[in-house]
Amino acid sequence: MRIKVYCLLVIGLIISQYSLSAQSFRANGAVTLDAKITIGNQNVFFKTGVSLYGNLNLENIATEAGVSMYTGYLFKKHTIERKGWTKGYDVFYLFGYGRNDNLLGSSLSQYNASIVYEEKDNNEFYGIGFGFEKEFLPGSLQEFNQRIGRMMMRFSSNHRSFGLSFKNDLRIGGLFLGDATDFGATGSLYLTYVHAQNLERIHQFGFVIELFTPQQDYNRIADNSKNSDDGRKNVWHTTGVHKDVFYANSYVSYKLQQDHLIYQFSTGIESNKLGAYIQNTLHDGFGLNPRFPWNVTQKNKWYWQGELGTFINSL
Amino acid sequence: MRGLCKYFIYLNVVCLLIACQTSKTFYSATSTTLTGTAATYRLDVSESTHAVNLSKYQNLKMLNLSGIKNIQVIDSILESVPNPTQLRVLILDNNYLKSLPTAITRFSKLEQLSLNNNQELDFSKAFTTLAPLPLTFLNCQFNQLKTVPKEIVYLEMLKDLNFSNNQLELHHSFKYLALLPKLTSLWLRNNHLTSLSANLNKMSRLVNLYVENNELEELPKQLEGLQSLRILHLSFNRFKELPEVLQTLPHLILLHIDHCNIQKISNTFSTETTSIRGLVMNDNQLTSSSIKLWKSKFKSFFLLIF
Repeated sequence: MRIKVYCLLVIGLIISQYSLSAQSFRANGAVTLDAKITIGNQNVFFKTGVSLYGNLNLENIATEAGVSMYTGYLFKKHTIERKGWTKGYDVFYLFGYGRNDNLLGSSLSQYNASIVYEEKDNNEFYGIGFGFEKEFLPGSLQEFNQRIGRMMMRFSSNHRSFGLSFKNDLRIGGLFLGDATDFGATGSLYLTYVHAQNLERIHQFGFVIELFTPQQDYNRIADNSKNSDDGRKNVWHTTGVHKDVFYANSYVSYKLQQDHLIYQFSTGIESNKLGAYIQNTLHDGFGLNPRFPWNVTQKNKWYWQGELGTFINSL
Repeated sequence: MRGLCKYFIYLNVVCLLIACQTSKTFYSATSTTLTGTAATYRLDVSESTHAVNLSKYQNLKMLNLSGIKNIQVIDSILESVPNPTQLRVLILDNNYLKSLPTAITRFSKLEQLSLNNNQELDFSKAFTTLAPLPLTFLNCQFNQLKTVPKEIVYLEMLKDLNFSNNQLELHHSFKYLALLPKLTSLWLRNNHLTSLSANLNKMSRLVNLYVENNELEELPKQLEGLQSLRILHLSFNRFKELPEVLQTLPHLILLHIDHCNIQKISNTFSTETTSIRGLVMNDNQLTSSSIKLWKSKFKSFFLLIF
C-alpha cells in the first residue's frame, strides 16, 4: 500500500511539471525511451524501458523525482547463467535547497538509462531523498526478487552534479523501503559525478561498491566456521538454489552519452575479502549479526562490464 | 575545516591499519604444511604426532595445535615460535589437556584462545595461568562444565566468552561472569538450560547473548538490569509465548526466537512498548491470521521474519 502511495506521489510530481503555471513555481520534466545491451563477466542482458523525470521549485525549495519501468531478456545475472524474461521498476525522489530545473537528477536513476539534461542558467541543488527498486527475475533467480530501498544525496552546480546512492534491502521507518530480508543484492554504494558538456554530450564517472549474498538459513543455528574469525563470531549457513553465490565488486565506471547513443564501461575487482570486511564491520558493529560465510581466502577476480544503448527523449 | 580534513585522513589511516591486521590474522590463507615462510600468518599443524620447529615463522598471527594430545609436543612447538608477541590466536581444541602448556605465557599479546573439548582440564588453574594474558575471546565448548570457576574473574580483558555445549548450572556462574568488566558477548548454546538465573540481571554490560538450543520455557521476571543488551538469540527453545519481559530491555534491537513453540504474542507488544526493531521468529506455532496481524504491526522493523 505504502509503495503504491509513493508511486502515485512521484508520478503526480512529474505530471505536475507539465500543469503548474503559477509564477512562484518553476517546473520541468522529460520522458525518455531507451534500449541497451549489457555484457560483462557477471551480467549479460538486453533491456528496454521508459523513464519519467521531473522537478519542481518553489522559491529556493526544490524537489525532483524519477520513475523507470523496463523489461528485457537475461542471459546472466548476479554471476548466475539463466535465460529468461525480466521486468522491473525504479522510483526515487529528492527534496532540497536550490534552483533545480536542468533535470540532471536523472543521473541518479538506478535503471541507468540515458541522462536527461536541459541547459539552464544558475542551477544549483543540494538535496536528499529516498527511492526503491525491484526486478522480477526469471526461474531460480526469483529468490533474489527483493525490493531494494535507497537513500540518495545530490549536490549540483549548473552542468555538474555529484550523486551518492546507498542501497540496501533493509527497511528503515517509512522512508527506506527494502523488503527487510538482508540477503541478495544486500548493500551497495554508488558515487557518481556528471559533467554535461552540452545537451548532446554528457560524461559520467562513477565509483561503486556492491555486495551480494545468498539466503541465510533460518532453520539452522548460525555456527558456520567460515568467516567466523576462528570461532569468535556467529556466521549463518546459507540455503537456496544459489547458496554459494557471493560477490563484492569495487569498480570505477565511465559513461559517455552522445548523439543519442550511450557507451559505458566499468572495471574493477570482485573480492570476497572486501565483501567480508565491509559486511562484517556492519554486522558486528550495528548488530545485524550473524555474519555471512564469505570465502575470505578466495583470490580477487577482475570485474568488467560494458554497455551500449540508444535513446530518444522528449526534450 | 583543516582540522576536519586532518581528522578524516587520520580516521582513514586507522581504518586501513585495522583492515590490514584483520586481513593478516583472519583472511589470509591457512598453511597446513611446514613449507611456509615469514609471510605465513596462519598455520595449522593440528593432529601433528611429533614436535615441529616453527623458527622460520616470524609473523605468525594464528596457530592451530588441535588434536595433538601430547602436552610435551605442544609445549615444544610453542617454545619454537620465534616471535611470540605476534601471535593473536591460539587453538588448542581436542587435546585432552589436564593443564595448560607452560609455554603459553610467552604469548603476551594473545587475544583469542580456544580450549574446546579438553574435558580433563582444571579450568580454575587454567584461568589463573591465563590471568597475565590480554585475552579478549575464550572458547570453552564441549568441556562438560557444570559451573564457571570463580577464577574467570582474573581474565579482566575478556570481551567474548563461549561456554556453549556444556552442562552449566548458571546461578553462581552469572555472579562471576557479571564481574568481568569488559564482557560484551556470551554464548550459552546447548547447555540443557531450563531456566536462566536471576543473576543474569546483574550483567549490565552484556551486549550480545546467545542462548539457543536449550530448554527454556520462560525468562527471569527481572531483566531490566541488562541495560546494554542489544542482540538476543533464543532460537530452538520451548517458549509458548513471546516473553513479555522482553519489553523491559531498554536497548534490545534484534531478537531471534525462531523454532520455539510460540503460540501467542501478547497484545502489550507494539513498536512503542519494545525497543526491538529486528525480529526473527519463523517456525513457531502462530496461526496464519496471527502472523498476518503481527507482520502488519511490526511492518516498520528493519528485519522481520515470520
